[in-house]
Amino acid sequence: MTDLALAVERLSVEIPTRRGVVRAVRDVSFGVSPGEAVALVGESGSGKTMTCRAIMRLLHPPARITGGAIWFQGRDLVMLAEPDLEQIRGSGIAMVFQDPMSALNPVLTIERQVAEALPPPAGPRAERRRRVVGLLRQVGLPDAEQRARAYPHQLSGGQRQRVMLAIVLARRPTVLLADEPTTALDVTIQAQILADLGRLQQQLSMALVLVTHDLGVVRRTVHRVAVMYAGQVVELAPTRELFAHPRHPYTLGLLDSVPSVDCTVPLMPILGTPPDPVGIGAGCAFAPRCPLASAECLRGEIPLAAVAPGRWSRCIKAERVGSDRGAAPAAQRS
Amino acid sequence: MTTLANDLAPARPTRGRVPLGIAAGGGMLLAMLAAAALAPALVPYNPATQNLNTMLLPPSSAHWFGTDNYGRDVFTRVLYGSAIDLRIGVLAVIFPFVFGGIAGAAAGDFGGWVDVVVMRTVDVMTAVPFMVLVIAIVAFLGPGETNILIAIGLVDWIVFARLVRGEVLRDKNLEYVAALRALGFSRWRIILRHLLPNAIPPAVVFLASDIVLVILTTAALGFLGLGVRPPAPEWGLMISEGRMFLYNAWWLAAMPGFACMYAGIAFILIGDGLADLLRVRGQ
Repeated sequence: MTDLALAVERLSVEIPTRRGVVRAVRDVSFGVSPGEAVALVGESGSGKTMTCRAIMRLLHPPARITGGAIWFQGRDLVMLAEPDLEQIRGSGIAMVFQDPMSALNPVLTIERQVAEALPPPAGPRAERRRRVVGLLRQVGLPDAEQRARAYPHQLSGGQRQRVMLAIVLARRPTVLLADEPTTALDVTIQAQILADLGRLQQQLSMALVLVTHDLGVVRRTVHRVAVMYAGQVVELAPTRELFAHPRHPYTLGLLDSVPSVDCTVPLMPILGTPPDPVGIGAGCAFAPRCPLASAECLRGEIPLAAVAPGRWSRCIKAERVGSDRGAAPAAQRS
Repeated sequence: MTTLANDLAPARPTRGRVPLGIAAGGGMLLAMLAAAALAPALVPYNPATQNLNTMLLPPSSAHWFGTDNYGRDVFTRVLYGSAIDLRIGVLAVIFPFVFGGIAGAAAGDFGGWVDVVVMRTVDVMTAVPFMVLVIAIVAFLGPGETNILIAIGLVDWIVFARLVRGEVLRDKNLEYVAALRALGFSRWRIILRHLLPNAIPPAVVFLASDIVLVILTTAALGFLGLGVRPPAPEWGLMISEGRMFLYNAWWLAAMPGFACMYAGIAFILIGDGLADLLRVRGQ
């Protein structure tokens, strides 16, 4: 555990609402090593963003951490007070937000905003400007010198997300959380930005946590994948193995619902809807939608268990998942 | 798509263009200040010297604004008075603007008990009319320019606090604030360098009209005998002294009134221009 850049251990986040307590993040554990990229994958509302915000300790009240630990450089972030967290945010753990449209201060020029994030000493103006333009070039912003003088509204979405990256990288973080950095952008730009993100992660040997619901992105960019469902990590595995042999029925369902390029394989949607986040009961949250489900799946909390070296699954029938692959879709179709 | 956008909208902020309002209002104000400063050289009269031979003369080429009941030249007194009124107007709003802005920003961003303390104080003070409160404080401290400044400072900040708090409340949940916090910036740094500057334009615009309000308040205090003491040529005092002669010598009250209006228009133009300058274009 000690060589991990960031380790999340049994983290829980709850949001009290009028209808009851929403358990947004339940018992989530995963880790990232330096230079490694891990993806958090799952549908909307599965707790990916909440997990990231909890790691930054930037949850919007009344959401709060109710259990677990977040280990970073030998310290548990859950226990730290605000002044210590401010030391860690930015230079230790940084975060890129979903929507670059709103994540920049609208009334300051790009140059001012990037310059503000530069670690001291800032040096004279010309020097600062040189560093800003250098950073903007590094993240692949075209025409960086001109753009530095622009305001956020004068840039396109992709350009703004690159600026966000430049701001975040100015601090040289050891861990970077990227919360769906490309969902607000159009497809061609998405691919470019993700490619650049991967390149920068390698160059700066950062630990990267990439939140996404795009499995294509996952396959190309990251080393390991944590699949989330209803606030839990249901499967954790190296990318290649996860795609080849999923060990959780939900992962299998996710993979089957991705369209193939040549459209030869019919799309297989996961039947049913995610559970109501208020009052999730005991047992497997996916059971109501699971083709393998049986009575024992609802008996008590199911732990995230090792099913093979480096592979974890929250399914008591992990070894049976995918064994009937090909037959199951046919059965569902009829 | 990107290249097309680049061609169409070269990223160049407007620079070096002073909004018309600032130019016009600033010009008016500068003219007034210059005239006040150069008054001894500009007009042959003394604002305090009485001359019983020239009592209540209507405006003429010798006395542009006429003379008052003591034979003093009204134009001269208005000129000298502008120094007093503008000084009080500008000085009195500095503390309310700064303190009210910071208190409002803190209340908006921190919420919780900070918000409760600041805003309940504001509520209590709002419940008592502005004038009544100022009069009460001045009556307690005693008349005079310094005490007017103190009284207005104690009361006037609540307007700015409420204004800035509203702006900050709107902004603080925007993603850019979370992004700044994710960079490790402290709460106060975000308040002072990002939230406050973004919340300031409406406060600055209000600042301009607030100066006018302060000038009128000063005048009202003078009228009640709680302000600047006679024979100082303060506009409000002149208006109140001239009210006895409204039927046969209207210029006594009207001319300082016009001066008030002139200063008011100048400040409001400046406020408007500042608002243009501070607003981001095409948001």
